[in-house]
Parts: sequence; C-alpha cells; structure tokens
Amino acid sequence: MNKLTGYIIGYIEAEISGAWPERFINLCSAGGVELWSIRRVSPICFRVKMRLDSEKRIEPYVNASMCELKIIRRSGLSVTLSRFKKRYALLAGIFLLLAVLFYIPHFIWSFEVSGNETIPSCEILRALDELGIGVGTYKQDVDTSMLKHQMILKLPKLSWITINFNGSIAQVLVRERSEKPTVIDESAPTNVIAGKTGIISKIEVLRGESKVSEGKTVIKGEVLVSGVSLKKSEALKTNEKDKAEIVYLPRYTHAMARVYARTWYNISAVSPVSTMKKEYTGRTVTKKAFIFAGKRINLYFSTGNLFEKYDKISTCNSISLPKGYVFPVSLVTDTYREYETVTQDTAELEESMKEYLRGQVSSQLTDGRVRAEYFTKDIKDGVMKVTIICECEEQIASVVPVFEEENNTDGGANN
Amino acid sequence: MISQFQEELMSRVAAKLDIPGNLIAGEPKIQILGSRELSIENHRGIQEYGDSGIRVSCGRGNVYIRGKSLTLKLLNGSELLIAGKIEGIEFE
Repeated sequence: MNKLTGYIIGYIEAEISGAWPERFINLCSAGGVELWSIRRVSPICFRVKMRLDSEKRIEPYVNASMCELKIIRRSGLSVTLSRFKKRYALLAGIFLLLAVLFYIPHFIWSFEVSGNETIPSCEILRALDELGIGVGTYKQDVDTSMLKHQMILKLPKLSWITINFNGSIAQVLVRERSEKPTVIDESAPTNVIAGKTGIISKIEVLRGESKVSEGKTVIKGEVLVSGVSLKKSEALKTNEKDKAEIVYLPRYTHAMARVYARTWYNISAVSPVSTMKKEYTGRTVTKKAFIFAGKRINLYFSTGNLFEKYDKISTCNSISLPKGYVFPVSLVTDTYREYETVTQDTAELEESMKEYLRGQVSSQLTDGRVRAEYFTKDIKDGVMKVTIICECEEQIASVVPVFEEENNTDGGANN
Repeated sequence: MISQFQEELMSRVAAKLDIPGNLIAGEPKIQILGSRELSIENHRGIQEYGDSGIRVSCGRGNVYIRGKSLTLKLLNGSELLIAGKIEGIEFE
C-alpha cells in the first residue's frame, strides 16, 4: 500500500500489546484484514497500520488473541474532510467559489473588434451596447443572425458583422461596405473655368482648346480651356449655284486641364486686447475609483468641489493578461488641475491671431502652397486687428458642364 | 485438512504436469529482491516475529528469515512482505 493510496483510502495506526501479538496478526491475515508497516516496538508490542474500515472487524481478533489495541492516530482524506464538517462558512465559501468559477465563463467580459477600417471600434461597441450586448451580457442571449441585421441598420457602412466567443472574450468581426467609385462621365462636354482670380503660372491642358496662356490675368469664372471647338465643315452647296457658304460646326469634348496660378488672400481677424487665458496654478488633487463591469466604486469619501476652476483628466487602467485578455476591472484615476484666468499678453494674442489666420488661408487653398505672407497689426479702442496678406500658388482649374453655361461661354455654335 | 501423503502426492503431480506447485500443492512461493525485500505467497501465518528473525508457517514446514532490522511491510491473507537486511533463509 503506497503512501498516496493509503492516504486516499484512509488508515489507522494502532499498537497491539499483549503476550502473543503475533497471534493477532495471524488472525487478521486469515480473516482477510490487510495490515502493513508492522514494526515491533517492544517485546510485547507491535505497531501496525490498517484500513479505516478494518477498525470494527478486528475487535474479535483482539479479544481472541488476548491483546490490547490502542489507536495511535487516524489518517486519510475522509478524516481530513470530516474536520471541515463543522466549518460551514468555509464549505459555503468553497461552494460559492466553484459556483462563480463555473458561472463566470458564460458571460461576456471583454470585446475585441477587428476588420474595421474607417468605422472606429468604439462606435461599433456603442452600437452593440445600444442593442443590449455589452460587458456582463449572458452569451446565450446573443442572437448572431438577428444582430447582423440590426447592426447593419444602425451602421449602414457595415456590410457584414458576426460575433465569435473565445471564452469570455467576444470577438467582433466586421466588414465595411466599399464605396462606389465616382465615375467621371467623359462623354459629357465640359469647360475648364477659373475657380479663383489670379495670374496663370502654369497650364497643363489634357483635353480641349486652351484660351489662356502663362502670365495672363484671369478672373473667377473665366474659361481657361474650352470644350467646344469649331470645325470648318465642307462648303455646302446651296440652291444658288454660285454662292457656297462656309459653315462652322461645333465639336464638343470633355475638357480637362490643370491650371496653376498666383493668388492673393487678404483676411483680417479682430479681438479685444484684454482677453483672458487659462494658466495652471500647479495644485492638483488625485482621486481613484474602481470600475467593475460598469459599476463604479469610489475609493474616496468627499465628493464636493475642490477648486473654483479646474480641469479634470481621467485615466483608466485595466488589468490584462499577457495574451491581451482584459479583465472587466479597471482603476480610474481622476486628476483635478486647478487653473486661473489671467490677462493674455499682447504679443501672445498677436501670435495666436496670426496662427488663426494662417489656418484660415490653408483651409482655402486648393492643392497649393503659400509663397509669401505679410501681417499688419492695428490696435484701436481696445481692439486688435491683425490682417494677413498672402501670396499663394495653387490649382485654380474647375470643370463645369458646357450646356448649363451656354449663355456665358464663347465659341457657341454658329447656325 | 489434507494429510501429508496427499500433499506429497499433489506435489509430485504438479511437478510431472509442469503446473506451478503453489497453485496445486499449497507450496509457498518465495521471491527475494536483492537482500532487502522478500515476499512469501501462500503462507499460514507468523509464528515468531523479531528484529533479527521472522518465522513464517507455510504448508509443509516453516521458513525462518534471518537478518537485521526486519519489518513486516505488508501482511494479508495470502501474501506477506518482509523488508530489512536479509542475511539468510532457512527451511525447517
């Protein structure tokens, strides 16, 4: 009987003392009671080990061999477990732990989104949450086929969605709808006109008849490349034999060109001189809280206002395993930074206005760059006015259909 | 109870038919592992048990195991296992 088996079955260690303890051993052997680790302790005493259930069976042998039996100890799994019989709280706790361990994997505790390119993951997760699928949802409640239809109705950019479960992680796989490419109708006749006023610096005609050249000043709306050209047709014979008329027939084409021109911008911005700005005092207060599956547990007591004016920055740290599995437990740290409003320095104000104006120019440029900029500043009656005069070079060609502008274009058909 | 004659007869039959003696004639089967472990199958009980010698009753006599620090590791109805420093086995 090896030690492990002995422990699992359970055994008693007993001392047999008497005149003839060997008789006891023989009676046990003949009666089918297994003994082991039989050692002589003294001339009249043996120490033996036997199974727990043999305790009752050996009584007649003890009597028959006129010996005394003394139980030294009882050992084994059943003996150890019986010690816990009275410890109800421990047993309840173990049972609760097992129930929780069995129960937890049936719920979703974490999400992984993949396959999305333009739609942000948080938007997909928010849509799922609105449909009732979030952290803590019972996995069996998720109807994947219905979900697909509902999500596509919510987010039309999706073409397909499914959820796979890997333990407690819900892997959301999506495919986005590919946008239909805009097809340029190259059969429609078009003209290229100037989108802005400027001086032509470069002209690249791809199709059509150029009406301008480099160095020419053009105004907004002026035709740069025409899609209408007149072709001299054969002289048509008329009824009057001597007079042959030369007729010009219009030929339409889809004009395309890239036209670069120097353009100028003159934009102003005004601001009162005494503006306030935010300056941090340096005083901060940090408060922490736990969030478990959406429920927040604050780790502080006072919830009153700390400073008169403050910025609150929250950082959220989740516990995660190396494989990327994130537990639904996170520690949120809120940092409150106090600030006060102070008068902004004039120079700083001027700089911020200049930056603003530069941004305005950039937003209006089409495929171009700023070649030179010049600022003027004027302070009057407590108001600062900053003006930017900017020379840029940009692409000004704009394609328009011919027939909508029939009244404005030159080179119309001559009937 | 079988008589000595019957035991002798069964022993000879077992030998002729090449049947293991311990099955037919109740002869003890002694297995020894090195000089530290000895097992006896088909025993009839212990007659003497000491640190330096154990006398085991078998079908047709006794077997005396002589040694040092001898202990009975296991004893059940059909087999016993003796451990210790075995110096000699004597058939009585």
